[in-house]
Amino acid sequence: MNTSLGLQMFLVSPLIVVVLGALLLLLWEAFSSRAKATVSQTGECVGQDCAGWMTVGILVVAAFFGAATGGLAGPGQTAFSGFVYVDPFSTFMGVVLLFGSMLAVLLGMGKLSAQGIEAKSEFYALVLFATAGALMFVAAAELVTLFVSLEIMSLALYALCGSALRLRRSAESALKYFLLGSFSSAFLLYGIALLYGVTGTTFISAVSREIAGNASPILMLSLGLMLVGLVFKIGAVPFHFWAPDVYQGAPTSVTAYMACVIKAAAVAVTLRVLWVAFEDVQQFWIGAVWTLAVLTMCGGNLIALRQRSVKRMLAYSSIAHAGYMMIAFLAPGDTNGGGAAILYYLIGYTLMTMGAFAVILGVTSEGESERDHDHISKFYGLSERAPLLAALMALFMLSLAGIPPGLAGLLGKFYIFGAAIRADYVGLVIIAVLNSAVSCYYYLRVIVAMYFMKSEAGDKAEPVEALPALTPALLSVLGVCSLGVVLFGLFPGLLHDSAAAVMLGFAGP
Amino acid sequence: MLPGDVIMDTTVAANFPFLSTIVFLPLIGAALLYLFPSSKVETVRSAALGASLVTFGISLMMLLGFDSSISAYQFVENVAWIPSFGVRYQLGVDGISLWLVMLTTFLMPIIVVASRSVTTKLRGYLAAMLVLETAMLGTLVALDLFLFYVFWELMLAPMYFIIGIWGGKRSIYATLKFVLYTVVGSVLMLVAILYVVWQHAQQHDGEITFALQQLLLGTNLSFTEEFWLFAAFALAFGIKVPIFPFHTWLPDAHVEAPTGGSVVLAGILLKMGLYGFIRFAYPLFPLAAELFAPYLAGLAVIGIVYGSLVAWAQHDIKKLVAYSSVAHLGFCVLGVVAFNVIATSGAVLQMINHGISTGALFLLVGVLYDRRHTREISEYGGLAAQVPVFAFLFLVFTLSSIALPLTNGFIGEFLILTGSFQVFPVLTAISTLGVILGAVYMLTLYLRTMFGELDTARNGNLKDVNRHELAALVPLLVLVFVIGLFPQPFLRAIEPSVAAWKGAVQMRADSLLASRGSAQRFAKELDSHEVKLAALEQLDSGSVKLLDYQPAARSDRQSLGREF
Repeated sequence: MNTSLGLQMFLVSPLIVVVLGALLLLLWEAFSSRAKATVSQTGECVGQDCAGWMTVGILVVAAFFGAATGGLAGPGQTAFSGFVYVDPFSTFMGVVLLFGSMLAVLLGMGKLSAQGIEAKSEFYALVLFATAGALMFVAAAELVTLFVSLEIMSLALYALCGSALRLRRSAESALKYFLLGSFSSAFLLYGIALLYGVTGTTFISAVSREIAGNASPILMLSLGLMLVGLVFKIGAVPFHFWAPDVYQGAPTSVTAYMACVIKAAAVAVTLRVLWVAFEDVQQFWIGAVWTLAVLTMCGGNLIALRQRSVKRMLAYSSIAHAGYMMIAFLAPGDTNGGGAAILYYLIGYTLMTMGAFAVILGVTSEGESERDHDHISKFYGLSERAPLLAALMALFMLSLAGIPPGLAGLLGKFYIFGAAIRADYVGLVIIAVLNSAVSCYYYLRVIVAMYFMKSEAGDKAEPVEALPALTPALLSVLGVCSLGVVLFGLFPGLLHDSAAAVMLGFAGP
Repeated sequence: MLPGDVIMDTTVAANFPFLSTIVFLPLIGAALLYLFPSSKVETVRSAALGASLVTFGISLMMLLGFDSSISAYQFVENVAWIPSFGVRYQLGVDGISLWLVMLTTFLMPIIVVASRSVTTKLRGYLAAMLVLETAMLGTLVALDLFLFYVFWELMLAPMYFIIGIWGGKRSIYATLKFVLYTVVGSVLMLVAILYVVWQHAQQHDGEITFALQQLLLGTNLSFTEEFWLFAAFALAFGIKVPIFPFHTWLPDAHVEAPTGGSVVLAGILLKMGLYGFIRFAYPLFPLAAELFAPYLAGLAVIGIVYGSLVAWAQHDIKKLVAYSSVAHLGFCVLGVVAFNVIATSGAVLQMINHGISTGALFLLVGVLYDRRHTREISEYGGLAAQVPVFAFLFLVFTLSSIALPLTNGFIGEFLILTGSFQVFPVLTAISTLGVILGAVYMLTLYLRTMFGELDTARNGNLKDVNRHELAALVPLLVLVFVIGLFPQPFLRAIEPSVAAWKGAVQMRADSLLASRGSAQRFAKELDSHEVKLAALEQLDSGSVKLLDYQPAARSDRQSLGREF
């Protein structure tokens, strides 16, 4: 495509902003740490917040650029010899990813030391690098670019998981994620290689043309391998084994980031690969996705029932939600199809999950280094100690369970199940709603702990230890998430209509 | 007037959005409660009382504006909510939902007054109650399937908290059981709703709508589809009623719930299942309903007899009343599935009656429990001498509960039995066993607690009802006799709507049959339809009143038989 270099640069400007910002942060850290010896304790405190706010600022600027590129790119424009494709879908996802990253950064701001993270600026820089990878991931129009961006994202994440240097479970989490993650990357890469062997191209749109009516066993093998590599990041059963340990072990900020941002990026890319590259061999992947969705929903929900650690429970719950989202893969369609449903669901899910992690961080931040820091007993009697936190957690739990007043969760399920029923997957939807009924049990158990149980300290007649004060950043996350959950539920059109508009032009470059 | 034509009567719709006001006032009230510090118990209670009384007042104004001669929905509000999915914010009230709405707004101030037995976190309790009121009212007036579903699900969370926080020892078990039972039913209903909507969209050039009236008009379903869809709806509603064998959550929930929770559960929440059958399951899937009706009637009768027997065997007063609810609601189910104007009108009225008498009984049990902290029947005895006013109130509501003539219970039960006997003679005959058993267990209860020797050591210090409790109970007492002596005003509003409802159900059955191409049966149905329309017009014009309704009903039976 004959676009000038300047225009091409502008199309990827969010990416550039994020990467430059990350480099800037690293430089800033290098220079400020030299000065650190001379500044007082409070000065350091201010410094750490500075890095956080800078990160938020960078993400906001990037989001603005993202919105602007959306206007410029129109229905879709390739850049850099067709390696990057900027269309409404990638722009929309880009903004969602940036927004999610912003929430994750705000979540941890001022609470990083409590989580055992000592290198603050590096932490923020790594978050930015991972976000940059995710941005490129959803905009990749070519499979090698896709793989490389996945690796940029993943490598930053491996480091982030282990960023609580002194905690063994953090290191364990990083190692597990690294080993299994590289394994899955290998699957994806092998799938891409085979696909190249069959079609002679790595461009998604060209792949789609080449394989039309040209199905071969090798193609199926490559489809299978790529699917494994992609759903690993989504956390679908049976490729989920990493998720609980990694989620529980990683610092809560990182867990929230992974559960929302990374999952959103992976879902979007899987959507693109399945709906565009493999559109013509639907018959091969429909059965596989159907089976994966059922396994993921049932597996996630059933194992979540037994969890006593809230973070681990949320890890399994995020697996279950991935299962619901995979249903939408099977239901393409217009305004009311699976694409728009999945985008709505992703945003709703991000808000509720991020909110839930914010509450967890608010409750457990002081004891993050303990082994059982997120045990459900830590939530006993929370409604007495911190009524606001308890009420918000109840809202997020109800929303995840799909019960009003947590309307975003209900509407998300409504859109996805509606699209699936329209595509005649009634049996699948019945399995899904029964799963959603099962999930009520473990979500409500958190409410049981907060509202119906006495706090442990209360029994021993000791003064109930006060929760640490919430940082303004954390409060803003809670505010945004709870408002979003209710508002997007009351007026789902605000979100769903634009999601539907985005999906109208969904195609390959 | 053709029942199918009464889609929307815009002329009646007042300019003032009565229904939205009634539905959302309690919610606003709940939010306002948080303006007061939770320590100022009396201020908070007064505020809640004010909110619920204003709601009741506005619903009374709506009642005055309600035109009983019209069977159509009144006070209709209709605004788009989720345009891309055809979901509308559509509200309306007819004779079937009118009294349930009134009962809801009427019971809520009483529950607030009776909240004196709640000692902890009163503000949260009252807020949950008010949110629950919004959810219940919304469920009763929603005419859009998805809006209905949202309100239906919204009833869960507040009740969950009410039982869980302010409940008894096993409240966590009871409240989880309550929620999980209800959720399993209702999620399957969501699938059914979505399926119907897409079928409708397919048949109408992709025009998606969740509006009940539009779905009724032209959604053709095969019998298999109808069968499963009705089954999904029936499961959701059957669990809520509850119909045997889905009743096991009810005694647990009742026993563990605080007094106000029990009142609202028995008074209104349980009626939602029956209301759902009438409003949604029957009109949408009439032929499947016809197929299921004898089985549902059978389950209802099992519920009546079984519930009565189990109630008889209880040692705990509250459990006894809870099981008596299973039996009483069995009668209501029987009345609904009998599917004729008399029985169904009776069932609608009996829902109100049960709300009044059982609600009052739960309040009375609460009074005893507040004083003695036990509900064991053997702990009491000879109370009539010690607490005469209490004994008198208990007697009246006991008699109302066992449907003695002159009380409200009699009218409803009589209508149900009269009507359903024409359809299910054997089952109805068996169900009368429940009437007798009802008298047995309630009078035994009365005998063992109120008469006999007073155990002065244990009950000698028992105080009679105080003025707050009296204030809660007297309005109910009045209603027992008002409905018992003057049922006509109530029935006058119910009957035209029930008749129109029946006509609409039959018309939909006809159109479903027609669409399935069984021309022969269709012709037969059409034949009987003409006769029925004549009867309906007579009813609508008000020339037939209920108590002299018998002859007309008989001719109804002779000429039509069971319409299906």
